[in-house]
Amino acid sequence: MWQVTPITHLRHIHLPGITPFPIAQSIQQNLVSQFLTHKALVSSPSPPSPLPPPPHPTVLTFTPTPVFTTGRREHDTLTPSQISLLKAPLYPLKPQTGKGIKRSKPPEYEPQYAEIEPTLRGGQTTFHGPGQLVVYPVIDLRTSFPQFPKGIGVRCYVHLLESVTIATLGRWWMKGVRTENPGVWEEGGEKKIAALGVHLRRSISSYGVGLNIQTDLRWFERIVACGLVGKGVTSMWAMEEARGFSGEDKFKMERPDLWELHGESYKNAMCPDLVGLQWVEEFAKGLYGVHGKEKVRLQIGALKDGELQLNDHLPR
Amino acid sequence: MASIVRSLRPVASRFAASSSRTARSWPISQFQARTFSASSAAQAKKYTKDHEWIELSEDKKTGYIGISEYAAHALGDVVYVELPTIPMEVAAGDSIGAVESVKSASDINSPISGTIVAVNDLLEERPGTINKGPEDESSAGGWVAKVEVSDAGIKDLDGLMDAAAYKEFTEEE
Repeated sequence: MWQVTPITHLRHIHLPGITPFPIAQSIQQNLVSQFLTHKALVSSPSPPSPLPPPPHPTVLTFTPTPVFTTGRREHDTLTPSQISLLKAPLYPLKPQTGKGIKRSKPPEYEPQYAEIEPTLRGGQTTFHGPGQLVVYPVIDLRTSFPQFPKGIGVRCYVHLLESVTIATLGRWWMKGVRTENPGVWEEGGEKKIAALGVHLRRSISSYGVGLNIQTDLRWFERIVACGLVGKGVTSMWAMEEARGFSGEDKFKMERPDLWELHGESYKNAMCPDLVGLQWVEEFAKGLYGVHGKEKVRLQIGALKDGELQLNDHLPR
Repeated sequence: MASIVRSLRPVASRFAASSSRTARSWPISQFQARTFSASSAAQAKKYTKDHEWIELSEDKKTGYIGISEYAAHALGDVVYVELPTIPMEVAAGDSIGAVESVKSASDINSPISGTIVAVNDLLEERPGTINKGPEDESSAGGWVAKVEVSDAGIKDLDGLMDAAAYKEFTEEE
């Protein structure tokens, strides 16, 4: 019942840019099906011999188009007025005044619209969209990993997702904390910086973490306005701003390579592409130990004619 | 006659109260409840690798389904149970709902093929009942659904583990 073939690596599929949420969901669903099919094969009355290898544990990272996702409990419970509030246009902010631009014609000032998508994960309504890193690890919790020789229990898994997120924030000299509420919070415990919600099918995980990097936090005000959630939300960039951008100098000093790579702009550097890499490295450490980073095999996904193409990415 | 009944009832409720007060040893009181119960003697429980259990009635025509003590403990406090809409025809392994703890929702799959004919409505109001008695198929227990066994369902039972095998299985984890 344990994986006899050793897990050689942790697969990281990263979708750069902005991906329509339903596409990312179907990629995730595909991964989950591969695992479920293998499981059914293994536990069938006459499994094939030799057994085909199980799929590799995979982490999918991406940034979706604006979407409000509901958890299992909220299927079909949004009222028409809540729906219209969530689906109302969001106007870009005027850089000078910070007020919404409503009358401008230029295309870059087009308002954004969010979709509403139901999911089977736990947890309540949340928002995913530009400026946010969404992380969906698809792994069989009943796999033996060096740090979890007997597999990962449900609560341990959730705890791991939180720890990894906290460690990722640590890389930016930021402190995230746990509270009795789900997710990862800024130090004071009043504002959530990362949302967390998982679905398990036969111990195979899906969904995971939504980490706010430079998300437009006004989207979240709508969830509060709908009465769906009460507490505040923040982002890495908002936290950075609150501490006077003190992280920038540290970043310049400690990572001049990344500083240059991102055009010497801290705002450019603090992006889902980079934070995604960091998250998966921390996750690999959580599963494999200190040298976990070496276990990560990165593939960059590209959509061509509705088909997902994966390109192996050589280590930096 | 009525006065005797009236004098008996307070005694009976005291028995019930004390058996729930020894909640720590609830598997023992569950056994007692079964031997005292008037309903058909139940078969022994069988378990799936995904930590669901099924207990058939004596005539093997129906069975109760739930999640195991091991699973309930692994999940932590259950905050919501998604119950199937009945009637629901299922094959072994089909999802019939989910248990949600604070941060995760875990599917409940039917151990055998058949038709789900009843669900434990108590779990809608009190999802925590699963944590208190996940393997308890009494009316106050945390069982999830009742299934009418199909012909295929009887065969599915052969693939399941008995209590001893399941215990060994969970110890390996």
